[in-house]
Amino acid sequence: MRDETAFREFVEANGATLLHAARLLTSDYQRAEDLVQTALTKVYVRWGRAREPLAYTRRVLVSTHIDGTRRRWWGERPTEALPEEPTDGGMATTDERDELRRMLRDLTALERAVVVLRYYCDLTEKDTAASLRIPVGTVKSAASRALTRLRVEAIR
Amino acid sequence: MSPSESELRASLRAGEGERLDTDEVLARVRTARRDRRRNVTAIGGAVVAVLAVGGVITGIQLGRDDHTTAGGPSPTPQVVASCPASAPVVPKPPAPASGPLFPDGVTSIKVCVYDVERLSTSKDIDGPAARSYAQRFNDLPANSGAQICPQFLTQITIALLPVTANGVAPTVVGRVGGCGTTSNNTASRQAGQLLGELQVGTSQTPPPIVPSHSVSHGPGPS
Repeated sequence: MRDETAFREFVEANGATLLHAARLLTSDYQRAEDLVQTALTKVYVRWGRAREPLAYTRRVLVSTHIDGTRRRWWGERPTEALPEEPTDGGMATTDERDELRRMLRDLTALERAVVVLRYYCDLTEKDTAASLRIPVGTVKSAASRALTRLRVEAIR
Repeated sequence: MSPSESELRASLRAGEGERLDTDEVLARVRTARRDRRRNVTAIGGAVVAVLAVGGVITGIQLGRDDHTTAGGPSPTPQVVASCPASAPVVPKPPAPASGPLFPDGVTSIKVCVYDVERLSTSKDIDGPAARSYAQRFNDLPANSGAQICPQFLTQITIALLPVTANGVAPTVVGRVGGCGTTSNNTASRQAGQLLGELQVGTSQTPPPIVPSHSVSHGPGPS
């Protein structure tokens, strides 16, 4: 029997952080909500078995996002005509945040995940590597590439 | 930490604080869990149904096998044909005598060899060999009755007792030698070669059919 009260408390305590991380990963408010919902659903199924729920949820969030960015023949297809007009979805629209979101969007999914985990979630390189299930060296190189690109973009 | 990294951290944190609607999250989680359970139940039910159908079919087949091969009385008890004590007379069928000497479904043939009137030896031919012999006898041309054969060149009589699933079929009797006239009282063949094989041969495997005109009499290996 899952402890639904504990899960509710976990969502209330970490939901905002997870949602913001998802927005940084996806650069899209709606997709961020869907991503968090999907991740929390996966966590809920295994609730009580994960020793560190927050770390596990972060890993699920990032891996779900990266999986979603891989183009699959059964996945989403790009279309010329967008079905909906993009909106800011209630996100605060300062120039600075828009610029950051634009710069993050130019990174690869892995680089974006490394940036979010390392510099937003404040994970160590080792924990970031563990969350992404990649070597620490890959985290270092991805972070280095991402920072370089963000600096270059910021200078422009 | 370089200034750019601290700036990046600050920039990343800008705009955070928007909370999730916990009730909505939980409601959607419950819905997802219910759908997942429904799918698992449906798949499990389908698997159980397939296994059940497979089990029933297997059980029926095993039941049939048990009924026919193992345990319990067999629906068709083993028929044992026995040789007559003295040589039977070759019956003379009414013309035309073109019917089959052996019935369909021969499972074994009891071969009884008589020297003059006395039973000298007997053997059983079973399975495919029996079916092959029966077929070879039936494939012989029917005895038209016009041909005159020198009878009684030997005093060897062979009685063939065909056994089918229905029991012992009418006995086929032939005389070795001459035309080898063989009859079951309704059909007749001139089966001298086959009778000779049965008299001499000890193997249950019938030899291949060799037309009489193709028999070679050339020199053998030195």
